[in-house]
Amino acid sequence: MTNYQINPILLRELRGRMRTARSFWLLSGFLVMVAGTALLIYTANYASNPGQIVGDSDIGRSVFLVLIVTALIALSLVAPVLAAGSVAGERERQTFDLLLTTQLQIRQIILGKIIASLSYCMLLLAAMTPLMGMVFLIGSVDVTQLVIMLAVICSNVVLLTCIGVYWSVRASTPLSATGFTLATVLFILLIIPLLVLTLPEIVLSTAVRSNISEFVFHVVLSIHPFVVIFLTDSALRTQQMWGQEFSINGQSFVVPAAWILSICYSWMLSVIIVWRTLRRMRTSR
Amino acid sequence: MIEFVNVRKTYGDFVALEGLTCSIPRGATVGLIGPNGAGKTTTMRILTTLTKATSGEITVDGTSVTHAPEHIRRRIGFMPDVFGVYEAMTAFEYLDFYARCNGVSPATRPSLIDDMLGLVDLAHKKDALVMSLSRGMAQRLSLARALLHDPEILVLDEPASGLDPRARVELRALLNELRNQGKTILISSHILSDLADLCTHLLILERGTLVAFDTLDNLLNRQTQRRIVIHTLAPTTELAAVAQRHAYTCISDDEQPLRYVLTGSGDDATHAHLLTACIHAGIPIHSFASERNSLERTFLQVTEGVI
Repeated sequence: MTNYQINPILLRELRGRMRTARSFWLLSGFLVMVAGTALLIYTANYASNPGQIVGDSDIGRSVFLVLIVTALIALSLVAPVLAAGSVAGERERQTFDLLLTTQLQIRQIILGKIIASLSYCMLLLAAMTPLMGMVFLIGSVDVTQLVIMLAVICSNVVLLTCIGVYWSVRASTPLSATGFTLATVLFILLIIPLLVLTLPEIVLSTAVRSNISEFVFHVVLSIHPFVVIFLTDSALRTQQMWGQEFSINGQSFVVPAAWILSICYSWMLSVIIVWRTLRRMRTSR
Repeated sequence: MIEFVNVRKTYGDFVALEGLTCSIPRGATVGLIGPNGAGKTTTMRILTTLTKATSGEITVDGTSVTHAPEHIRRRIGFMPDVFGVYEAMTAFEYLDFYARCNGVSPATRPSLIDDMLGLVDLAHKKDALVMSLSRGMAQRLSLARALLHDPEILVLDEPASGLDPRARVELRALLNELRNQGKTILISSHILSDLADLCTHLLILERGTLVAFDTLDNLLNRQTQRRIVIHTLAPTTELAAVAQRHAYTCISDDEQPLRYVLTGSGDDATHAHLLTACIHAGIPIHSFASERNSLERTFLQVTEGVI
Protein backbone atom coordinates (compact mmCIF):
# COMPACT_ATOMS: atom_id res chain seq x y z
CA MET A 1 0.00 0.00 0.00
CA THR A 2 1.40 3.41 -0.89
CA ASN A 3 1.87 6.08 1.75
CA TYR A 4 -0.11 8.61 -0.28
CA GLN A 5 -1.57 11.50 1.67
CA ILE A 6 -3.85 14.21 0.36
CA ASN A 7 -2.30 17.68 0.39
CA PRO A 8 -3.18 19.03 3.86
CA ILE A 9 -3.58 22.59 2.55
CA LEU A 10 -6.12 21.39 -0.01
CA LEU A 11 -8.04 19.40 2.60
CA ARG A 12 -8.13 22.28 5.06
CA GLU A 13 -9.12 24.86 2.45
CA LEU A 14 -11.96 22.71 1.13
CA ARG A 15 -13.30 21.91 4.59
CA GLY A 16 -12.88 25.46 5.81
CA ARG A 17 -14.57 26.91 2.75
CA MET A 18 -17.51 24.53 2.71
CA ARG A 19 -18.20 25.05 6.41
CA THR A 20 -18.96 28.71 5.94
CA ALA A 21 -22.41 29.95 4.93
CA ARG A 22 -20.69 32.15 2.32
CA SER A 23 -20.00 29.11 0.10
CA PHE A 24 -23.63 28.09 0.01
CA TRP A 25 -24.81 31.63 -0.66
CA LEU A 26 -22.30 31.92 -3.50
CA LEU A 27 -23.35 28.58 -4.99
CA SER A 28 -27.03 29.50 -4.71
CA GLY A 29 -26.44 32.96 -6.18
CA PHE A 30 -24.47 31.48 -9.07
CA LEU A 31 -27.21 29.00 -9.92
CA VAL A 32 -29.94 31.63 -9.65
CA MET A 33 -27.96 33.94 -11.93
CA VAL A 34 -27.20 31.28 -14.55
CA ALA A 35 -30.66 29.71 -14.50
CA GLY A 36 -32.38 33.10 -14.43
CA THR A 37 -30.47 34.37 -17.43
CA ALA A 38 -31.08 31.14 -19.36
CA LEU A 39 -34.78 31.31 -18.53
CA LEU A 40 -34.91 34.93 -19.66
CA ILE A 41 -33.33 34.11 -23.03
CA TYR A 42 -35.55 31.06 -23.46
CA THR A 43 -38.70 33.05 -22.71
CA ALA A 44 -37.63 35.94 -24.92
CA ASN A 45 -36.85 33.58 -27.82
CA TYR A 46 -40.09 31.70 -27.38
CA ALA A 47 -42.14 34.88 -27.09
CA SER A 48 -40.61 36.39 -30.23
CA ASN A 49 -41.36 33.23 -32.24
CA PRO A 50 -44.74 32.10 -30.88
CA GLY A 51 -45.51 29.86 -33.80
CA GLN A 52 -42.38 27.72 -33.45
CA ILE A 53 -42.00 24.60 -31.38
CA VAL A 54 -39.76 24.51 -28.29
CA GLY A 55 -37.22 22.23 -29.93
CA ASP A 56 -36.16 24.92 -32.37
CA SER A 57 -32.37 24.86 -32.81
CA ASP A 58 -31.90 28.61 -32.33
CA ILE A 59 -33.47 28.47 -28.89
CA GLY A 60 -31.26 25.56 -27.81
CA ARG A 61 -28.11 27.17 -29.13
CA SER A 62 -29.00 30.57 -27.62
CA VAL A 63 -29.70 29.12 -24.20
CA PHE A 64 -26.48 27.11 -24.38
CA LEU A 65 -24.39 30.14 -25.28
CA VAL A 66 -26.03 32.22 -22.58
CA LEU A 67 -25.35 29.50 -20.01
CA ILE A 68 -21.71 29.32 -21.06
CA VAL A 69 -21.17 33.08 -21.15
CA THR A 70 -22.95 33.66 -17.84
CA ALA A 71 -20.90 30.92 -16.20
CA LEU A 72 -17.75 32.44 -17.67
CA ILE A 73 -18.64 35.92 -16.38
CA ALA A 74 -19.33 34.56 -12.90
CA LEU A 75 -16.21 32.40 -12.82
CA SER A 76 -14.05 35.24 -14.19
CA LEU A 77 -14.90 37.08 -10.99
CA VAL A 78 -15.16 34.22 -8.51
CA ALA A 79 -11.99 32.31 -9.46
CA PRO A 80 -9.47 35.17 -9.13
CA VAL A 81 -11.13 36.63 -6.05
CA LEU A 82 -11.12 33.27 -4.27
CA ALA A 83 -7.49 32.72 -5.19
CA ALA A 84 -6.44 36.27 -4.28
CA GLY A 85 -7.44 35.67 -0.67
CA SER A 86 -5.56 32.39 -0.35
CA VAL A 87 -2.01 33.28 0.73
CA ALA A 88 -2.74 36.91 1.69
CA GLY A 89 -5.54 35.58 3.89
CA GLU A 90 -3.05 33.32 5.69
CA ARG A 91 -0.88 36.37 6.30
CA GLU A 92 -3.83 38.35 7.62
CA ARG A 93 -4.86 35.50 9.93
CA GLN A 94 -1.20 35.27 11.02
CA THR A 95 -1.07 31.58 10.15
CA PHE A 96 1.35 31.90 7.26
CA ASP A 97 4.54 31.76 9.34
CA LEU A 98 3.27 28.60 10.99
CA LEU A 99 2.83 26.98 7.58
CA LEU A 100 6.35 27.96 6.60
CA THR A 101 7.81 26.32 9.70
CA THR A 102 6.16 22.99 8.89
CA GLN A 103 7.74 20.39 6.66
CA LEU A 104 5.54 21.32 3.70
CA GLN A 105 7.37 22.32 0.55
CA ILE A 106 6.62 25.71 -0.96
CA ARG A 107 5.17 24.00 -4.04
CA GLN A 108 2.80 21.94 -1.88
CA ILE A 109 1.49 25.10 -0.26
CA ILE A 110 0.98 26.88 -3.59
CA LEU A 111 -0.48 23.88 -5.40
CA GLY A 112 -2.80 23.21 -2.45
CA LYS A 113 -4.06 26.78 -2.65
CA ILE A 114 -4.53 26.64 -6.43
CA ILE A 115 -6.30 23.29 -6.46
CA ALA A 116 -8.55 24.31 -3.54
CA SER A 117 -9.67 27.46 -5.38
CA LEU A 118 -10.14 25.48 -8.59
CA SER A 119 -12.15 22.80 -6.83
CA TYR A 120 -14.74 25.29 -5.71
CA CYS A 121 -15.00 26.72 -9.24
CA MET A 122 -15.41 23.19 -10.59
CA LEU A 123 -18.18 22.65 -8.05
CA LEU A 124 -19.95 25.71 -9.46
CA LEU A 125 -19.56 24.34 -12.97
CA ALA A 126 -20.76 20.91 -11.92
CA ALA A 127 -23.82 22.49 -10.31
CA MET A 128 -24.80 23.68 -13.80
CA THR A 129 -25.19 20.08 -15.02
CA PRO A 130 -29.04 20.02 -14.79
CA LEU A 131 -29.23 23.23 -16.82
CA MET A 132 -26.89 21.77 -19.43
CA GLY A 133 -29.09 18.69 -19.47
CA MET A 134 -32.03 20.88 -20.27
CA VAL A 135 -30.18 22.29 -23.30
CA PHE A 136 -29.57 18.76 -24.56
CA LEU A 137 -33.26 18.01 -24.22
CA ILE A 138 -34.08 21.08 -26.34
CA GLY A 139 -31.54 19.87 -28.90
CA SER A 140 -29.13 21.49 -31.39
CA VAL A 141 -26.09 21.25 -29.09
CA ASP A 142 -23.84 18.23 -29.25
CA VAL A 143 -21.41 16.76 -26.75
CA THR A 144 -18.35 17.96 -28.72
CA GLN A 145 -19.53 21.53 -28.50
CA LEU A 146 -20.17 21.20 -24.77
CA VAL A 147 -16.76 19.60 -24.14
CA ILE A 148 -14.94 22.30 -26.13
CA MET A 149 -16.71 25.15 -24.34
CA LEU A 150 -16.13 23.59 -20.92
CA ALA A 151 -12.47 23.04 -21.77
CA VAL A 152 -12.13 26.72 -22.67
CA ILE A 153 -13.84 27.77 -19.45
CA CYS A 154 -11.79 25.41 -17.29
CA SER A 155 -8.49 26.50 -18.86
CA ASN A 156 -9.37 30.13 -18.27
CA VAL A 157 -10.41 29.43 -14.70
CA VAL A 158 -7.00 27.79 -14.16
CA LEU A 159 -5.26 30.88 -15.57
CA LEU A 160 -7.33 33.32 -13.51
CA THR A 161 -6.76 31.26 -10.36
CA CYS A 162 -3.01 31.26 -10.95
CA ILE A 163 -3.11 35.04 -11.42
CA GLY A 164 -5.03 35.35 -8.14
CA VAL A 165 -2.54 33.20 -6.24
CA TYR A 166 0.40 35.11 -7.74
CA TRP A 167 -0.96 38.43 -6.47
CA SER A 168 -1.89 36.79 -3.21
CA VAL A 169 1.78 35.93 -2.68
CA ARG A 170 2.96 39.39 -3.70
CA ALA A 171 0.42 41.55 -1.88
CA SER A 172 0.39 42.04 1.87
CA THR A 173 -3.38 42.05 2.40
CA PRO A 174 -6.26 40.14 0.78
CA LEU A 175 -7.82 43.46 -0.24
CA SER A 176 -4.77 44.63 -2.19
CA ALA A 177 -4.33 41.13 -3.66
CA THR A 178 -7.93 41.19 -4.86
CA GLY A 179 -7.44 44.68 -6.30
CA PHE A 180 -4.32 43.72 -8.25
CA THR A 181 -5.95 40.49 -9.44
CA LEU A 182 -9.10 42.18 -10.70
CA ALA A 183 -6.97 44.83 -12.41
CA THR A 184 -5.07 42.06 -14.22
CA VAL A 185 -8.31 40.34 -15.23
CA LEU A 186 -9.71 43.64 -16.49
CA PHE A 187 -6.50 44.16 -18.46
CA ILE A 188 -6.97 40.80 -20.18
CA LEU A 189 -10.69 41.22 -20.79
CA LEU A 190 -10.83 44.91 -21.74
CA ILE A 191 -7.44 46.44 -22.49
CA ILE A 192 -6.04 43.68 -24.72
CA PRO A 193 -9.08 43.66 -27.08
CA LEU A 194 -9.00 47.44 -27.12
CA LEU A 195 -5.33 47.42 -28.09
CA VAL A 196 -5.89 44.76 -30.75
CA LEU A 197 -8.70 46.77 -32.27
CA THR A 198 -7.08 50.20 -32.08
CA LEU A 199 -3.32 49.70 -32.41
CA PRO A 200 -3.33 48.38 -36.01
CA GLU A 201 -5.45 51.40 -36.97
CA ILE A 202 -2.75 53.70 -35.64
CA VAL A 203 0.43 51.80 -36.47
CA LEU A 204 -0.24 49.98 -39.74
CA SER A 205 -1.11 51.20 -43.20
CA THR A 206 -4.55 50.37 -44.59
CA ALA A 207 -3.13 47.84 -47.07
CA VAL A 208 -1.18 45.92 -44.48
CA ARG A 209 -3.99 46.17 -41.98
CA SER A 210 -6.61 44.69 -44.26
CA ASN A 211 -4.18 41.89 -45.09
CA ILE A 212 -3.33 40.75 -41.59
CA SER A 213 -5.96 42.15 -39.22
CA GLU A 214 -8.17 39.07 -39.28
CA PHE A 215 -5.19 36.84 -38.61
CA VAL A 216 -3.92 39.05 -35.75
CA PHE A 217 -7.41 39.29 -34.34
CA HIS A 218 -7.69 35.48 -34.33
CA VAL A 219 -4.26 34.79 -32.85
CA VAL A 220 -4.09 37.54 -30.22
CA LEU A 221 -7.69 37.59 -29.11
CA SER A 222 -7.65 33.86 -28.48
CA ILE A 223 -6.37 34.91 -25.04
CA HIS A 224 -9.81 36.45 -24.46
CA PRO A 225 -12.25 33.73 -23.34
CA PHE A 226 -15.42 35.59 -24.35
CA VAL A 227 -14.12 36.20 -27.87
CA VAL A 228 -13.10 32.54 -28.04
CA ILE A 229 -16.60 31.40 -27.08
CA PHE A 230 -18.13 33.33 -29.99
CA LEU A 231 -15.35 32.44 -32.46
CA THR A 232 -15.76 28.78 -31.53
CA ASP A 233 -19.53 28.90 -31.91
CA SER A 234 -19.14 30.45 -35.33
CA ALA A 235 -16.41 27.97 -36.32
CA LEU A 236 -18.56 25.02 -35.26
CA ARG A 237 -21.42 26.34 -37.38
CA THR A 238 -19.10 26.41 -40.40
CA GLN A 239 -17.62 22.98 -39.58
CA GLN A 240 -14.14 24.47 -38.91
CA MET A 241 -13.64 22.81 -35.57
CA TRP A 242 -9.86 22.28 -35.63
CA GLY A 243 -8.50 25.21 -37.61
CA GLN A 244 -9.22 28.32 -39.57
CA GLU A 245 -7.80 29.20 -42.94
CA PHE A 246 -6.15 32.59 -43.50
CA SER A 247 -4.56 34.17 -46.52
CA ILE A 248 -1.79 36.75 -46.37
CA ASN A 249 -0.20 38.08 -49.57
CA GLY A 250 -1.88 35.36 -51.54
CA GLN A 251 -0.48 32.57 -49.36
CA SER A 252 -3.02 30.41 -47.58
CA PHE A 253 -2.37 28.69 -44.29
CA VAL A 254 -4.34 27.13 -41.48
CA VAL A 255 -4.12 28.34 -37.89
CA PRO A 256 -5.41 26.20 -35.02
CA ALA A 257 -8.92 27.05 -33.94
CA ALA A 258 -9.42 29.78 -31.34
CA TRP A 259 -10.41 27.29 -28.64
CA ILE A 260 -7.16 25.34 -29.16
CA LEU A 261 -5.09 28.51 -29.00
CA SER A 262 -7.03 29.65 -25.94
CA ILE A 263 -6.37 26.41 -24.08
CA CYS A 264 -2.67 26.49 -25.05
CA TYR A 265 -2.30 30.15 -24.00
CA SER A 266 -4.05 29.55 -20.70
CA TRP A 267 -1.93 26.55 -19.74
CA MET A 268 1.35 28.11 -20.88
CA LEU A 269 0.66 31.33 -18.99
CA SER A 270 -0.51 29.34 -15.95
CA VAL A 271 2.74 27.37 -15.88
CA ILE A 272 4.79 30.57 -16.17
CA ILE A 273 2.77 32.30 -13.43
CA VAL A 274 3.05 29.31 -11.07
CA TRP A 275 6.81 29.24 -11.68
CA ARG A 276 7.05 32.96 -10.91
CA THR A 277 4.90 32.48 -7.80
CA LEU A 278 7.14 29.69 -6.50
CA ARG A 279 10.22 31.81 -7.16
CA ARG A 280 8.67 34.74 -5.35
CA MET A 281 7.81 32.57 -2.35
CA ARG A 282 11.28 31.06 -2.21
CA THR A 283 13.07 34.40 -2.34
CA SER A 284 10.78 36.01 0.21
CA ARG A 285 11.14 33.13 2.68
CA MET B 1 24.11 22.34 20.01
CA ILE B 2 22.96 25.68 18.54
CA GLU B 3 25.77 27.93 17.34
CA PHE B 4 25.26 31.54 16.38
CA VAL B 5 28.34 32.83 14.56
CA ASN B 6 28.49 36.56 13.87
CA VAL B 7 24.85 36.67 12.80
CA ARG B 8 23.77 39.97 11.31
CA LYS B 9 20.38 40.98 10.00
CA THR B 10 19.48 44.27 8.41
CA TYR B 11 16.23 45.62 6.99
CA GLY B 12 17.36 48.37 4.64
CA ASP B 13 19.41 50.73 6.80
CA PHE B 14 18.01 49.36 10.02
CA VAL B 15 20.27 46.88 11.80
CA ALA B 16 18.05 44.39 13.62
CA LEU B 17 20.85 42.10 14.74
CA GLU B 18 24.57 42.81 14.85
CA GLY B 19 27.26 40.16 15.19
CA LEU B 20 25.40 37.75 17.43
CA THR B 21 27.78 35.00 18.52
CA CYS B 22 27.00 32.43 21.18
CA SER B 23 26.67 28.71 21.71
CA ILE B 24 23.63 27.13 23.32
CA PRO B 25 24.22 23.70 24.86
CA ARG B 26 21.82 20.78 24.41
CA GLY B 27 19.04 20.66 27.01
CA ALA B 28 19.48 24.30 28.01
CA THR B 29 16.52 26.55 28.60
CA VAL B 30 17.57 29.93 27.31
CA GLY B 31 15.67 33.09 28.10
CA LEU B 32 15.94 35.80 25.46
CA ILE B 33 15.46 39.12 27.12
CA GLY B 34 15.73 42.67 25.99
CA PRO B 35 13.53 45.66 25.38
CA ASN B 36 11.17 45.87 22.39
CA GLY B 37 13.20 46.09 19.18
CA ALA B 38 16.23 44.41 20.76
CA GLY B 39 16.30 41.66 18.13
CA LYS B 40 14.73 38.78 20.03
CA THR B 41 12.05 37.97 17.46
CA THR B 42 14.54 38.43 14.59
CA THR B 43 16.87 35.92 16.27
CA MET B 44 14.02 33.45 16.60
CA ARG B 45 12.82 33.97 13.04
CA ILE B 46 16.29 33.31 11.65
CA LEU B 47 16.67 30.17 13.75
CA THR B 48 13.27 28.87 12.64
CA THR B 49 14.14 29.48 8.94
CA LEU B 50 11.45 32.16 8.54
CA THR B 51 14.00 34.89 7.81
CA LYS B 52 17.44 34.68 6.25
CA ALA B 53 20.37 36.28 8.04
CA THR B 54 22.11 39.02 6.08
CA SER B 55 25.45 37.50 7.08
CA GLY B 56 26.79 35.04 9.61
CA GLU B 57 25.67 31.50 10.26
CA ILE B 58 23.46 29.54 12.61
CA THR B 59 24.03 25.82 12.92
CA VAL B 60 22.21 23.11 14.83
CA ASP B 61 24.59 20.24 15.58
CA GLY B 62 26.69 21.45 12.65
CA THR B 63 23.79 21.67 10.20
CA SER B 64 23.38 25.10 8.68
CA VAL B 65 20.01 26.79 9.06
CA THR B 66 20.59 28.59 5.76
CA HIS B 67 21.71 25.61 3.71
CA ALA B 68 19.49 22.85 5.11
CA PRO B 69 16.29 24.56 6.27
CA GLU B 70 14.13 21.44 5.71
CA HIS B 71 16.37 19.46 8.03
CA ILE B 72 16.26 22.23 10.66
CA ARG B 73 12.46 22.51 10.49
CA ARG B 74 12.17 18.85 11.40
CA ARG B 75 14.12 19.54 14.61
CA ILE B 76 12.46 22.77 15.70
CA GLY B 77 9.00 23.50 17.07
CA PHE B 78 8.01 27.15 16.87
CA MET B 79 5.37 28.98 18.85
CA PRO B 80 5.03 32.57 17.63
CA ASP B 81 3.79 35.43 19.76
CA VAL B 82 0.45 35.50 17.94
CA PHE B 83 -2.06 32.69 17.69
CA GLY B 84 -3.46 32.62 14.18
CA VAL B 85 -6.73 30.74 13.83
CA TYR B 86 -8.60 29.20 10.96
CA GLU B 87 -12.34 29.56 10.87
CA ALA B 88 -14.58 26.67 11.84
CA MET B 89 -11.87 24.30 13.01
CA THR B 90 -11.93 22.22 16.19
CA ALA B 91 -8.90 21.77 18.44
CA PHE B 92 -8.51 18.21 17.16
CA GLU B 93 -8.72 19.29 13.51
CA TYR B 94 -6.26 22.12 14.16
CA LEU B 95 -3.66 19.67 15.46
CA ASP B 96 -4.55 17.12 12.77
CA PHE B 97 -3.87 19.73 10.08
CA TYR B 98 -0.43 20.59 11.43
CA ALA B 99 0.36 16.93 12.05
CA ARG B 100 -0.35 16.30 8.35
CA CYS B 101 1.80 19.31 7.42
CA ASN B 102 4.62 17.83 9.47
CA GLY B 103 4.32 14.45 7.82
CA VAL B 104 3.02 12.52 10.83
CA SER B 105 1.80 9.13 9.59
CA PRO B 106 -1.97 8.56 9.41
CA ALA B 107 -1.69 5.51 11.66
CA THR B 108 -0.20 7.39 14.61
CA ARG B 109 -1.91 10.75 14.10
CA PRO B 110 -5.12 10.28 16.17
CA SER B 111 -3.35 8.86 19.21
CA LEU B 112 -0.57 11.44 18.98
CA ILE B 113 -3.10 14.28 18.91
CA ASP B 114 -4.95 12.80 21.89
CA ASP B 115 -1.64 12.57 23.76
CA MET B 116 -0.78 16.18 22.93
CA LEU B 117 -4.20 17.43 24.00
CA GLY B 118 -3.74 15.49 27.24
CA LEU B 119 -0.26 16.94 27.78
CA VAL B 120 -1.53 20.51 27.52
CA ASP B 121 -4.67 19.66 29.52
CA LEU B 122 -7.07 20.30 26.67
CA ALA B 123 -8.48 16.80 26.18
CA HIS B 124 -11.89 18.05 27.25
CA LYS B 125 -11.76 20.71 24.50
CA LYS B 126 -11.01 18.25 21.70
CA ASP B 127 -14.20 19.07 19.77
CA ALA B 128 -14.40 22.74 20.72
CA LEU B 129 -13.86 25.31 18.01
CA VAL B 130 -10.40 26.87 18.24
CA MET B 131 -11.98 30.32 17.97
CA SER B 132 -13.93 29.67 21.17
CA LEU B 133 -10.87 28.87 23.33
CA SER B 134 -9.63 31.32 25.93
CA ARG B 135 -6.25 32.99 25.41
CA GLY B 136 -4.58 30.60 27.86
CA MET B 137 -6.09 27.54 26.20
CA ALA B 138 -5.12 28.85 22.77
CA GLN B 139 -1.52 29.28 23.93
CA ARG B 140 -1.48 25.73 25.26
CA LEU B 141 -2.94 24.45 22.00
CA SER B 142 -0.26 26.38 20.13
CA LEU B 143 2.37 24.70 22.28
CA ALA B 144 0.82 21.30 21.51
CA ARG B 145 1.04 22.17 17.82
CA ALA B 146 4.72 23.02 18.18
CA LEU B 147 5.33 19.65 19.84
CA LEU B 148 3.51 17.49 17.28
CA HIS B 149 6.58 16.32 15.41
CA ASP B 150 8.53 15.77 18.64
CA PRO B 151 11.15 18.47 18.02
CA GLU B 152 14.37 18.57 20.03
CA ILE B 153 14.32 22.36 20.09
CA LEU B 154 11.41 24.55 21.09
CA VAL B 155 11.39 28.21 20.14
CA LEU B 156 8.75 30.16 22.05
CA ASP B 157 8.15 33.83 21.34
CA GLU B 158 6.39 35.56 24.23
CA PRO B 159 4.37 32.48 25.22
CA ALA B 160 3.00 34.11 28.37
CA SER B 161 1.93 37.43 26.89
CA GLY B 162 -1.68 38.25 27.59
CA LEU B 163 -2.17 35.33 29.94
CA ASP B 164 -3.84 35.67 33.33
CA PRO B 165 -1.78 34.64 36.41
CA ARG B 166 -3.31 31.18 36.60
CA ALA B 167 -2.65 30.47 32.91
CA ARG B 168 0.92 31.72 33.35
CA VAL B 169 1.52 29.31 36.23
CA GLU B 170 0.08 26.43 34.18
CA LEU B 171 2.21 27.31 31.17
CA ARG B 172 5.32 27.53 33.34
CA ALA B 173 4.59 24.09 34.80
CA LEU B 174 4.18 22.71 31.29
CA LEU B 175 7.46 24.22 30.13
CA ASN B 176 9.21 22.82 33.21
CA GLU B 177 7.92 19.39 32.23
CA LEU B 178 9.27 19.82 28.70
CA ARG B 179 12.61 20.99 30.05
CA ASN B 180 12.74 17.86 32.20
CA GLN B 181 12.15 15.79 29.06
CA GLY B 182 15.45 17.16 27.77
CA LYS B 183 14.17 19.61 25.17
CA THR B 184 16.33 22.60 24.36
CA ILE B 185 14.11 25.63 24.82
CA LEU B 186 14.57 29.20 23.63
CA ILE B 187 11.99 31.47 25.18
CA SER B 188 11.52 35.18 24.94
CA SER B 189 9.50 37.00 27.53
CA HIS B 190 9.17 40.35 29.22
CA ILE B 191 8.09 38.62 32.42
CA LEU B 192 11.53 38.19 33.95
CA SER B 193 10.35 36.44 37.11
CA ASP B 194 8.94 33.64 34.94
CA LEU B 195 12.27 33.29 33.15
CA ALA B 196 14.14 33.21 36.47
CA ASP B 197 12.10 30.20 37.52
CA LEU B 198 12.52 28.41 34.22
CA CYS B 199 15.81 29.22 32.52
CA THR B 200 19.27 27.76 32.84
CA HIS B 201 20.81 30.44 30.58
CA LEU B 202 20.05 34.01 29.65
CA LEU B 203 20.73 35.79 26.40
CA ILE B 204 20.39 39.53 26.82
CA LEU B 205 20.03 41.69 23.72
CA GLU B 206 19.80 45.41 23.36
CA ARG B 207 19.35 47.22 20.03
CA GLY B 208 20.40 44.14 18.12
CA THR B 209 23.61 43.60 20.05
CA LEU B 210 24.41 40.77 22.43
CA VAL B 211 24.90 42.30 25.87
CA ALA B 212 25.34 39.11 27.86
CA PHE B 213 25.06 35.36 27.44
CA ASP B 214 25.72 33.18 30.44
CA THR B 215 24.13 30.79 32.87
CA LEU B 216 21.47 32.28 35.09
CA ASP B 217 23.60 31.75 38.22
CA ASN B 218 26.65 33.46 36.75
CA LEU B 219 24.57 36.41 35.62
CA LEU B 220 22.89 36.77 39.00
CA ASN B 221 26.30 36.64 40.69
CA ARG B 222 27.50 39.44 38.45
CA GLN B 223 25.17 41.72 40.35
CA THR B 224 27.41 44.01 42.40
CA GLN B 225 24.82 45.83 44.46
CA ARG B 226 22.81 43.82 46.99
CA ARG B 227 20.12 44.95 49.37
CA ILE B 228 19.28 44.13 52.97
CA VAL B 229 15.86 45.10 54.32
CA ILE B 230 15.80 45.55 58.11
CA HIS B 231 12.75 46.14 60.29
CA THR B 232 13.38 47.39 63.83
CA LEU B 233 11.16 47.60 66.89
CA ALA B 234 12.07 51.28 67.48
CA PRO B 235 13.60 54.09 65.42
CA THR B 236 17.40 54.01 65.44
CA THR B 237 20.27 56.22 64.28
CA GLU B 238 22.87 53.56 65.10
CA LEU B 239 22.05 51.48 62.02
CA ALA B 240 23.45 54.05 59.59
CA ALA B 241 26.78 54.03 61.43
CA VAL B 242 26.98 50.23 61.51
CA ALA B 243 26.15 50.11 57.82
CA GLN B 244 28.78 52.69 56.97
CA ARG B 245 31.45 50.63 58.79
CA HIS B 246 30.65 47.77 56.42
CA ALA B 247 30.65 50.06 53.34
CA TYR B 248 26.86 49.96 53.04
CA THR B 249 24.52 52.92 52.71
CA CYS B 250 21.42 53.05 54.87
CA ILE B 251 18.19 54.61 53.68
CA SER B 252 15.21 54.95 55.98
CA ASP B 253 11.69 54.82 54.68
CA ASP B 254 9.63 57.92 55.52
CA GLU B 255 6.36 56.08 55.12
CA GLN B 256 7.54 53.10 57.15
CA PRO B 257 9.79 54.61 59.85
CA LEU B 258 10.88 51.23 61.23
CA ARG B 259 12.00 49.94 57.81
CA TYR B 260 15.58 50.48 56.63
CA VAL B 261 17.18 49.49 53.33
CA LEU B 262 20.91 48.86 53.30
CA THR B 263 22.68 48.80 49.91
CA GLY B 264 26.22 47.59 49.29
CA SER B 265 28.36 45.11 47.46
CA GLY B 266 29.10 42.64 50.22
CA ASP B 267 28.62 38.88 50.01
CA ASP B 268 26.69 36.57 52.34
CA ALA B 269 29.55 36.62 54.91
CA THR B 270 29.45 40.43 55.03
CA HIS B 271 25.73 40.26 55.66
CA ALA B 272 26.31 37.89 58.58
CA HIS B 273 28.91 40.29 60.04
CA LEU B 274 26.49 43.16 59.60
CA LEU B 275 23.77 41.31 61.49
CA THR B 276 26.18 40.50 64.33
CA ALA B 277 27.32 44.14 64.47
CA CYS B 278 23.72 45.34 64.65
CA ILE B 279 22.99 43.03 67.56
CA HIS B 280 26.19 44.12 69.36
CA ALA B 281 25.21 47.75 68.81
CA GLY B 282 21.94 47.06 70.59
CA ILE B 283 19.73 47.80 67.59
CA PRO B 284 16.30 46.25 68.27
CA ILE B 285 16.04 44.19 65.11
CA HIS B 286 12.67 42.66 64.29
CA SER B 287 13.64 41.20 60.93
CA PHE B 288 16.77 41.09 58.75
CA ALA B 289 16.27 40.06 55.14
CA SER B 290 19.15 39.74 52.72
CA GLU B 291 17.38 40.08 49.36
CA ARG B 292 18.04 37.44 46.75
CA ASN B 293 19.58 38.75 43.55
CA SER B 294 16.72 39.42 41.17
CA LEU B 295 16.70 39.03 37.43
CA GLU B 296 15.09 42.44 37.03
CA ARG B 297 17.98 44.18 38.77
CA THR B 298 20.55 42.00 37.01
CA PHE B 299 18.99 42.92 33.67
CA LEU B 300 18.97 46.63 34.47
CA GLN B 301 22.54 46.49 35.72
CA VAL B 302 23.86 44.46 32.77
CA THR B 303 22.19 46.64 30.16
CA GLU B 304 22.97 49.93 31.88
CA GLY B 305 25.17 52.09 29.72
CA VAL B 306 26.36 49.27 27.52
CA ILE B 307 25.09 50.78 24.31
